Amino acid sequence: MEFGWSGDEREFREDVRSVIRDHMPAGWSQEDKDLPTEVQSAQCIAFCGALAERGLLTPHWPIEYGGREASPWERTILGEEMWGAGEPRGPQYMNVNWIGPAIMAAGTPEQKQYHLGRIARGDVLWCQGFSEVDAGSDMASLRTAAVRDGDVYVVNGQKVWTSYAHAAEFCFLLVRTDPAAEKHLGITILLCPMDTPGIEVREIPTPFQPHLLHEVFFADVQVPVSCRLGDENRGWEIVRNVLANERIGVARHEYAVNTLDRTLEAATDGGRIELDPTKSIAAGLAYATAEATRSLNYAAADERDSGKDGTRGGSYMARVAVGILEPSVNRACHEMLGPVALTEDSPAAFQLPNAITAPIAAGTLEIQLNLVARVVLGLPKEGAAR
Amino acid sequence: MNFALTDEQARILESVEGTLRRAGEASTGLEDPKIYLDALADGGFLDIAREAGPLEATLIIEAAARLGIAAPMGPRLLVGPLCTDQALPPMVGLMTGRDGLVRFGGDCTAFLTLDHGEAYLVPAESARVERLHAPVGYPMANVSLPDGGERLGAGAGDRLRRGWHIALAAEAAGCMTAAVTLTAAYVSDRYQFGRPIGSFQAVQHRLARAHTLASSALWLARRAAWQADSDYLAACAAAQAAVAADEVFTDTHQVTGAMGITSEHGLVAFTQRLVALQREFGGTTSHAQYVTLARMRSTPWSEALHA
Repeated sequence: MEFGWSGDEREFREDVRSVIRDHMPAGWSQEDKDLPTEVQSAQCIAFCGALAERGLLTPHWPIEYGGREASPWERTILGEEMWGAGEPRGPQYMNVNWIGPAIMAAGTPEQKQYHLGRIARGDVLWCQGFSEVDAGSDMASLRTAAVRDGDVYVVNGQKVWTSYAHAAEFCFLLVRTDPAAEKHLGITILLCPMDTPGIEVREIPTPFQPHLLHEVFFADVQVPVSCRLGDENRGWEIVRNVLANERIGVARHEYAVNTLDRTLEAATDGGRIELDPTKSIAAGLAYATAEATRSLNYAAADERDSGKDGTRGGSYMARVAVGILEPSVNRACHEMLGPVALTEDSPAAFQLPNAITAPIAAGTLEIQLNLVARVVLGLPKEGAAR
Repeated sequence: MNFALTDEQARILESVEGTLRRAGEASTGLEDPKIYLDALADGGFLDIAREAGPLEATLIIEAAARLGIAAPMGPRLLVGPLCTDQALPPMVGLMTGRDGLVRFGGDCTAFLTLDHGEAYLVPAESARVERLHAPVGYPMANVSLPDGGERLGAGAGDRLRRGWHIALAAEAAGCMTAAVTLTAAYVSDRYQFGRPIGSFQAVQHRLARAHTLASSALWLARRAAWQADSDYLAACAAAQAAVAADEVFTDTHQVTGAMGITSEHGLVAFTQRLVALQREFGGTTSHAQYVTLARMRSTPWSEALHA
């Protein structure tokens, strides 16, 4: 048991930092990762292209797909540096962490050649067509329907809360292809081009920033069968593995520590003002929570490295920790800065939406707690009777 | 980075756990913390922090706590060796200043005190000790030290603080692990309304959250111990352990009901200790303030100010 970084890993981190230094879009902040305008979309693609040229966009991918099978630790380092910098990869973190791996696992040779190539070059934006109005945590109850008609699927339905839908070229779309089957067994994945006629994207306004959330309507959208990922009605198995990958690699603890540092600097005027005890305590508790979250993220990465991913639930606990972390950071920032924290220029500006979304996005805190209870603690499934 | 024990670490822990179990079995049944430290001394484990490393010492502290052993492991196995190279007696107490409540204070033969940032070693014979009854799972005593004692040299005060933070976090993590394990077993077997109470989501969520916090404290304590020279990480470990201890105390008792406070069940032995550990060395708020202070000292903008 040891917690150090090897020489190669330290060098890798420095490589990543140098690309960030050289190619980070000017003025990029965490709000920009949601691509509020076309400017950020272009910046994201340019940055990912620079990463790709340095072999730092998909280093963890298999060699046959252009990666070098970098360890989960290097992937952890990459995630930390990217999230610490405000995630200039934008939605492409999804591409490299789980969309690409899903296509590797289940794609046709043509799909692999086209999509993996573009993802590896960093020139494509994807969105995730999962949630629906009546299918959030219970995602398997989705109802967006895809009916086979010759060599196309005709898709009708609606997705909601879809981040990046306004800018995405493709949608990793979950559809129901067998309404009569048990809900998990009638789901299919379509790699759906977003410029297909019949798709309409509408922004769902929030008070926080443009293009945080969208709804996507599908009206008789004809998606070629060649866009299907894996077998018909077998999409849930692919998605289940994908969702586990989604939970690791989002190093919110790194951005949390950076936010706390910036806030502490502002609150103390660069160390010239002493922080009163209430503020100091709030900050210290948030830092401790961030380091605790980092520890659980590392534990989850260790599970992957040792081939035990999913069997000990490290990723579930790491997600629980994130759900606790972001509200803690929000409280600390507001405590330290007082009313100044409420202005859009404050170092804590994006913490309020973070505090709300972290416990609900990518699998709610409650679902993660259920999984910790059952998988890690071995507690009986709800409804188990004598 | 590797979260698995090395063969050597596993061997040490197996040996220590066997030693501690045998010492407990051989005891007369009266609570005597010294038998455990003596057993570790006989086994050559008291100075493991110097011989193997602070992480190994921390793993032992955590393991002893998980086994339900109440003895001043942290002060002797970790804090003392970090502060000084000289030989120390098995029973060492930790305090700040010259007056205070000390765990195992009535049984210690020496005290390490952090006094105005400096570390001092003071023999117990020069101290005034008043044993107290305190329902916190540890024997406690009011201890008053005279001025003076052996000043342990430059940097020892900081090392004492770091070691104390880490030792507290490790001991709390061990107690929390045991508490959650006991509770998970109980709620899996306790049936009400025709089903195990552990199958109700309200119970599952409490325990899952408690376990996550306890696990986060455990791994952070181990990280801080391995790094050994980070005031920031050590204080984070103590703060996180104190926060987690509060939740584990509340959640485990809430779902075990009256059974959880019986001596027979065993949970309360661990949770009582969490209360004491949570409040030692200034408690949650003190640890948190030190986190912020340590962080400020380590930032580039602050470094420039203090240069």
